[in-house]
Amino acid sequence: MKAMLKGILPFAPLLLLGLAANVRPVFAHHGFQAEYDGSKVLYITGTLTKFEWENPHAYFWVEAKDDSGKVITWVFEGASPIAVKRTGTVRADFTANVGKSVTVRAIPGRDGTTKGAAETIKLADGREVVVGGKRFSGEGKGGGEN
Amino acid sequence: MNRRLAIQVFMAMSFFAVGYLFSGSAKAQNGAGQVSVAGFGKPNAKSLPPGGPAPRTADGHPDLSGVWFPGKMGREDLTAEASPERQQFDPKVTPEEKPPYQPWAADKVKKLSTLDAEILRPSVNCMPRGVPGMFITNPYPTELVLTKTELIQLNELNNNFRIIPTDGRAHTKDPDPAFNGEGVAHWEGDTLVIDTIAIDERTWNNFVGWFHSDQEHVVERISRPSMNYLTYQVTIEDPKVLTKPWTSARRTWSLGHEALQEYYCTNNREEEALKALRDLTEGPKK
Repeated sequence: MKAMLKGILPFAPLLLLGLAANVRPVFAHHGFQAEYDGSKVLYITGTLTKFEWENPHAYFWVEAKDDSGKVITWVFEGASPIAVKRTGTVRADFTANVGKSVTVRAIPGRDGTTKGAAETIKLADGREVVVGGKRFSGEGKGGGEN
Repeated sequence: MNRRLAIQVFMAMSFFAVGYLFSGSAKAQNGAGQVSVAGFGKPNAKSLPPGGPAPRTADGHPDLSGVWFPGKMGREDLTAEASPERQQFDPKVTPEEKPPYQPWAADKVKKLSTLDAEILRPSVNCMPRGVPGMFITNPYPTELVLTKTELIQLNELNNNFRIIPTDGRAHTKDPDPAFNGEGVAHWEGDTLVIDTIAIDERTWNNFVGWFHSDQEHVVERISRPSMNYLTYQVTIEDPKVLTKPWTSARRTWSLGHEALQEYYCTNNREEEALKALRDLTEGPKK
């Protein structure tokens, strides 16, 4: 992985240029399409270390091991806390799970860093709660998981 | 020409290369060691019934007061973002025309890069949506309070408000520009008609660059066809930017039963992230 990233790095500006020139916007909320790649979905399991419950977006951090065993910090962006709360996920779902293992479902950032736009979090008690709108576009209309 | 073609081919190849490499890196960084295509869950979406006739004020007008949510659900739910119940109109039934830009304006919007369009969006830079944005680019609830003399609109988004006299008075002479402009209103039957001018030129009328001039003139029509529903339609005139007036579809809002909450847009990391991406791809901007 490291070797691959090192190999990519010198070409990153050119590659991103290609990306920007070819992606025509299908605008959803708040720049998600420009910043994140809705054609991919990730599941990241790790320890929830902190969160910010602020508008316009909730953010939270998860420390997860990569394939080599190295701990990597992921930062995830959710929808606005108001919208999250109206969907049934409350601040206490985060406060009660700091330091615990969670699994985040998210789409990755386009810049290749360890960030994502999150859809759901599976909490330590087994509940999978919604923290963002549907961002992954690769599965038709979705459905069936919950 | 050949050189241009070569650049386009190179860019296309770069795009595919990025896609390939990112999919690889995503797999490698995935702590769970899996990339899944599982579903998001069934949308929690249900339209409200009409709910009977609209209530009326003492002087006989439909009472527009209430907390109104965009769409037909009377509430917000992230799982229902793409559901028909959440939509404010059906574009197959009442399609909306594209903004009838003058050629120079169409060119200006077309030239806006994807990333600049994102960075300049009010939702990303925390600027007010203004008029008519508070109705047509606002995914959050709005509260209307109709008094004998005014319509008071309280927006959850950015905690902003406007107060519109409903006595049919004329505009003041040469009002200063404001995000919400200067609005005056009168009744046409059961429809409240709000006429707004002097709208700050920093607002957009859609999410993709519909800018306007200091000559923009906005006419909004609001009615309450039944207890649970509010109908909104807007006409935008802008002789400096548009070739003719643009009228929206009739957009639906529905009655909620919860209080507005505080929403100050602050510290949006997206702006920073998008600017960094722009610096990489387009070169740093001053």
